[in-house]
Amino acid sequence: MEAYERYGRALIRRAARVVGNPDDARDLVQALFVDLYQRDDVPLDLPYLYRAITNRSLSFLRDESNRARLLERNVMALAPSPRTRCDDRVIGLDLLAKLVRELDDAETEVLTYHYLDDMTQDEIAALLGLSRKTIGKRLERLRQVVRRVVETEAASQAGPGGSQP
Amino acid sequence: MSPRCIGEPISWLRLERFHLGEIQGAEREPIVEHLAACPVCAACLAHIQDDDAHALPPLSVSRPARRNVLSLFPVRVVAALSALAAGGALVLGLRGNGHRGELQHARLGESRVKGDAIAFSLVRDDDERIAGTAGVYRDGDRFKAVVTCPPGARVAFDVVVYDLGGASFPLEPARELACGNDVPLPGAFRLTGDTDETVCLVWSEGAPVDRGTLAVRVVGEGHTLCKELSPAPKPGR
Repeated sequence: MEAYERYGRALIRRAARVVGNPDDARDLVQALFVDLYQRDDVPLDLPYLYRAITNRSLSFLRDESNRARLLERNVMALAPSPRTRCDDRVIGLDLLAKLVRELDDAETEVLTYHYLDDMTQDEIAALLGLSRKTIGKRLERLRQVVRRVVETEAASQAGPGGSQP
Repeated sequence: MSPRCIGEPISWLRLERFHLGEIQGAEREPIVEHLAACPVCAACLAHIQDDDAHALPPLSVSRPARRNVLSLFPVRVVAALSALAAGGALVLGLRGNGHRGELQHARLGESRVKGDAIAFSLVRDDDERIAGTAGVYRDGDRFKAVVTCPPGARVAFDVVVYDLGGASFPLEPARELACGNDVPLPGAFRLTGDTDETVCLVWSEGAPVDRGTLAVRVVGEGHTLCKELSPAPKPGR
C-alpha cells in the first residue's frame, strides 16, 4: 500500500510518542493499515492518518492492562527531549497514563496534540475541524485537570502530613 | 532540564509533513527560518531524518478470506450472523504480533452462552431504548448498556466502540455479571461527534474479555452483538 510506504514511519514515530514503546507502535500502525486496506472511503493523507493513529494509541493507552505494561516498558530514549513551552508542563507517558483516566476522548485528543505534538491552537482547530475558541476552552480545562492530577500526585508522594508546615 | 525552543515550536505533524515535502510555498518559508535559528526544533527534524534510515516493517495485509467476507457485510448483518452462529469461541481476527504484525486467529475466551441467549440494548438517559441492530445518536448522548442473559450464568461482559479512530472501551469490564433480565452493565458512556459508531457487546465465560484482541475490529462468532449508530440529522438540514 502506497500510503503505508509513504507515511508508515511517521505514524510509527507518532504512535511511539504516545505509547512509549516501538513494538506496540508498529503493531498499532499495522492494525490501522489492515483496517484501511479493507476500506476505500477514507482519505489517506497524513493529517487524517495522524489523527487515526493518535486515537488508536490513546485507546490502547486507556486499557488498564496495556497501561501497566507500557509504564513498565517505557522506552525513555525513544524520542528526543520534548521542547518545553514556557507556560506549559511536559507530559510524559506516566502523566499521560493518569490523565487518560480523568479526561474524555475529545479532551485527551486535544491534550495529546498540544502537549505531545506542540501543535498550536490554530493547528489543532484545523485538524479537528473545530473553532479556535473551542480548542482554547478545552485547553483551559485541561490545564486545570493537569494541575489537579499533578498536585494530587505530589501530595500522595509527600505522604500523610508531608505537606504540612 | 528540557531544552527550550526559541519561540513557538514547530509541531511534530508539521515537521513530518515538511520532511515529506508536503509543505510548500508561503507556509514553508517560516519553517525553514525557524529551523535555521532553533537548534531544538532542528534536532527534532534530524531525529525524523535519522529514524527514516531504519527499514519499515513489511505490511501484512494478505487477505484472510473469512474475515474479509464478513467485513464486506454491514455490521448489522454481521451482528445477526454472529448471533445465529452456532460455532465455538474461536474467532478469526487480526492482531499484530510483536513487530511482525502477522495475521492470527484470536481467542476471546470460551463461551457456551451463544448469541441467541443474549439480548443487548442501549438505553439513553431519556429512557429511549435501542434494541435493534441500528439506531441514531445525538452528539453527547449518554447511554447505559443493558443485557439479558440466562439466569444463573456467570459471564464477563465488555463494551467496545469502533469508529474511524479505532476501538475504545467506554466502560469498565463487567468481570462476572449475575445474569438475568435487563441487567445494566456498571457505568455509562457518551457518544460524541458526527460519525458512524459501532457499539458491540462482547462476552466470555471463564475468562475476562481480551481487550487486546478487540483493539482491532474483530467479528466474534456467537459472543458478539453489535449496533450500528448513525448521527441524528441536525435540525434545519
